[in-house]
Amino acid sequence: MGLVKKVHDTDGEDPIGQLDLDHLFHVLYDRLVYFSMQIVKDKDLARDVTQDAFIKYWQQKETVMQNYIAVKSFLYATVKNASFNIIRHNKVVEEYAGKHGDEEFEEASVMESIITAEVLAEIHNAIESLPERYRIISVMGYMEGKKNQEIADELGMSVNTVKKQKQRALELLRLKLAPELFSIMLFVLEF
Amino acid sequence: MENYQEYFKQAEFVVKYLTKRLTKQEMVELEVWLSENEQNRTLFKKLTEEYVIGRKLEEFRLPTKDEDWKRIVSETGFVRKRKFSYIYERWFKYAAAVFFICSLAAVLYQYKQVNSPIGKKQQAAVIVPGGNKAVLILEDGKHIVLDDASKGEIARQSNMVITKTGDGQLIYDTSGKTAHGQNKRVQYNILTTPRGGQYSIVLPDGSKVWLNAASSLRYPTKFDENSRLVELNGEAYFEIAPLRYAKKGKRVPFRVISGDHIVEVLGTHFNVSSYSDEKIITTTLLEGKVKVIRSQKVGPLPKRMEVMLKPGEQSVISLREVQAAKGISVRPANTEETVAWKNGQFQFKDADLPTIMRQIARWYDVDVEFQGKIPEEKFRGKISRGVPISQLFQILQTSGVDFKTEGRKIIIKS
Repeated sequence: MGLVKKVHDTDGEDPIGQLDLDHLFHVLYDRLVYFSMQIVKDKDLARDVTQDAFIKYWQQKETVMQNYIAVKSFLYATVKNASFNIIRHNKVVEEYAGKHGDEEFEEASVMESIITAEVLAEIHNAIESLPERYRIISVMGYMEGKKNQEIADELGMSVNTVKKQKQRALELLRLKLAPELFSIMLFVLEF
Repeated sequence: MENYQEYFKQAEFVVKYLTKRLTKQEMVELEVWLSENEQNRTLFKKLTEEYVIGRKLEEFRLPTKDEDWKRIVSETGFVRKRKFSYIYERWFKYAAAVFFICSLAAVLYQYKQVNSPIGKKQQAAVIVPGGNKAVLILEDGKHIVLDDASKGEIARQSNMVITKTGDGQLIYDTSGKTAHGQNKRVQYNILTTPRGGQYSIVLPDGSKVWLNAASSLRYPTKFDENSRLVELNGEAYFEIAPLRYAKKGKRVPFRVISGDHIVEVLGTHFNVSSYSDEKIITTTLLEGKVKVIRSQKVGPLPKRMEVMLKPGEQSVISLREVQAAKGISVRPANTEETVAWKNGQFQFKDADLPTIMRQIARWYDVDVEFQGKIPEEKFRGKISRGVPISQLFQILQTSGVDFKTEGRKIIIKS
């Protein structure tokens, strides 16, 4: 296979450090844990599996193509294989056999789980980076499913204000959910 | 070893769909993926349901992230090389688009300014000219933000498809089939522009409307057979398509209501200016024929006055008059000056400073304050609406106007 390729991780090829371990961790850890959790159904197990995947990547990075998509795929694949190994060796497999056929579950659900993890990660990051008051309202509205009136009562504001702030939060989220643009702003405004 | 690039791409489309940043090409690819099998469609439905996402986000949270990182560091002996914070993956694609960066930087600067915590050093406000910006409010209360970013279909209501074209126009298409048992009740939409925004729309009957800044237009998604009625606050330019009522062969009138000011036309081009902070409501006719009606309550009885306008004429209704006697007056108008805004220009001929500054305020989204006596000079001139405000400041200076700026406020001294 043509993947065995030695690439030196020089600044010239990765000037913004997106392949550095801490950057990869910062951006991808949460979603990989979430992905693993959908298979193994246990958060602590998912964390272990994912950490091992990062460690494995770092130790074997000479064998992985040094571009972001390839590294990301490697991490997802490693987490996937380890997660399935766990459930095959546990009693957990009985539950799955009841709900889905073994083989079926594998590839079909992998697609669902990966796409879900990716979408959630983007939305999560965007909400986390919102200014305080918009974030609280977004959390209460979108995550806790509270109705506008409930939020208004809890925060001591009018329903109209809640609606306006929700809308404003959405507009901000829109801007923020285009990370390539947001990052340029950081670069332009703070550096 | 698997490459999951395809999945990453679909996830990106879903996120863009949620934030209405999907390009036409991407929408096509998304539709292809959705048409592949039922599973894709179900997944898409799940991911675009607000409540579902909310529940899942709860599970997404990971408070142990820091300690987990420590374990990785200890097992790999990893040492951080770089000093500054990280930039996301797709940075490179946009590095070349300097112009793009600059204009967006201005927009985001404004947001940063608004959201800075208290005590942070005050940042200079960046004032930019307006652009194609509006919010469409559907009957069910849903807000759709319209700007230059998203194109393509933006909403579906009953049998109506609302699309946004590449040059920023909203088009209502009723050519689709009506669903069974469609309710007869008419639905209304509101198109509203903020200060610094403008938008154009093609109504269900093919009439075109250009909406100026800080304005709103309320219209039905399907016009009645006997009359076409819309409500306007602010300023708009109309190009009304003549419409014949098929059965009776009579022409269907189009009416624009602004408070007690009604404009009635059969098919024509005209401009209505009805800002609440101006002293007058004017309707200027460019082509065709227009009837301007004022319907007031004088004592217990409604009083109705009407005038017919010829092209080049303008009706004026004063909002400040005490007596209703004045009613409606007609005067000749400079049509070029009146619709200059729609053609991307400011044009003034003998305009006083307050009038000019009100227009500037709406388009650049700034506040204007006059301190002391208001200068009496009149101004004339023509300038593009796209110029940076610094150029306008220069013009004011050379015209001898004394002013200073404080953030987004322009203070004019006598």
